[in-house]
Amino acid sequence: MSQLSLRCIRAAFLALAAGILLGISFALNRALGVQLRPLHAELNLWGWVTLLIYGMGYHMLPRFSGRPLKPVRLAAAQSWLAIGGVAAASLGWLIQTPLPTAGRILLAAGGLAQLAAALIFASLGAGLLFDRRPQLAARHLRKEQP
Amino acid sequence: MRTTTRAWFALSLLLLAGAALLHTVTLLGLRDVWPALVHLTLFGWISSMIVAVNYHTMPVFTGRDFPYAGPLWLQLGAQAVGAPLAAGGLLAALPGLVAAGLALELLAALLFVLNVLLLFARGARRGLPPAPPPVPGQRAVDRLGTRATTAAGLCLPLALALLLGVRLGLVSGAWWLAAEHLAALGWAMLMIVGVAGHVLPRFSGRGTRGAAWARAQLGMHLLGLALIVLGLGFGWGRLFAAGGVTMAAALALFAWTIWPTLRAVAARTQLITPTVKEYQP
Repeated sequence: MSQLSLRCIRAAFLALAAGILLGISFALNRALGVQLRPLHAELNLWGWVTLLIYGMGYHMLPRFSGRPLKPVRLAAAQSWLAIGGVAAASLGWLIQTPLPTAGRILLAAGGLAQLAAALIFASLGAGLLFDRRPQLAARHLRKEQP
Repeated sequence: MRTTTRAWFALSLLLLAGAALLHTVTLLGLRDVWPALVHLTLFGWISSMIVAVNYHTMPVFTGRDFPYAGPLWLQLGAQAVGAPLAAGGLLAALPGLVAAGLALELLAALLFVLNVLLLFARGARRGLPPAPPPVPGQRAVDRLGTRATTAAGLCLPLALALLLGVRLGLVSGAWWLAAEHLAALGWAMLMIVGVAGHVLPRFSGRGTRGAAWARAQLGMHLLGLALIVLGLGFGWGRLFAAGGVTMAAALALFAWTIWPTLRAVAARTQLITPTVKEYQP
């Protein structure tokens, strides 16, 4: 598995760990759960599941489609945008009550970074799915993967 | 790749773009978008990607082909219309639109179950399924993974039926949040648990920590899920708290169980071939 995939998957597990800690605190304190529900959703839906799909997608889609992922640097940038976006948005949700201005800036930056990451991933995925180049055998594909 | 599978991947990527747009709008301050964002993310982007991956990998792992294209296309159509319709209804606060979208999504979820059953019952054999990687105990881990994915497949229609029931006034509004948790922790998370047990040892060439850990994880996961859903639905705070702690322990156990497979940076290439074998109907 490539560093690109592992980076996304490890970040996803970090988000899961944060989500677990948050989940335990919600279970013990319902009021906190109401206050931090957006952070809960951010970490679980966009941190854990989406980053995990990005990581697995970078491994699976080239193999499923039989074509190598060519713009590897763009994919690497996408992974950092997605991870950074989740981190910024999570921090924004966390501090928006005590520090509203900083919170708003972080939420906006995190949202825009994640939007860019999603659009890049979608375009890279579509490029692999609808690529007209001939398919490569698995052994050739492996040589061309990051 | 089969055309329907390619279409499922394309749909999931389109829904990702839509969900990401709603996400950004929410983070920029339009909080009213929140219910539509959660719905399109969970039941649109994530669900469609899960279905796409299943439709590519299941024929490989079972050594069978889907027998009929009709139900596959019907499911795709129901999902492609239903998810945006429900999200649009939530966005515009139009209950009728939400109910129509949910009904279509429920139809898609039931067709998913039907397609999987048809694959096993009537799917033409195309050789033997690939042998498991030479990892001790992998067959037992595979069986547990199949149990997890089966449970996941049942959670999706149940969650959508609950959401529809809330919209139609058949059950109380508290079940909306319960249904969303059933979808997130049941459908998506159990599917991740099941698929991870199958594919990560094959992708990485390294085994998980073994079937005993996986069995304990699955048992705790199912127990935690039941407690959370019932606790939220009936408004029983202590049951929800017990479920939350159990689920947290189950997810920590999941990370512990599969972590050895993630340490492998370079895959053992000879183990990859069976799972990436191109599927040609």
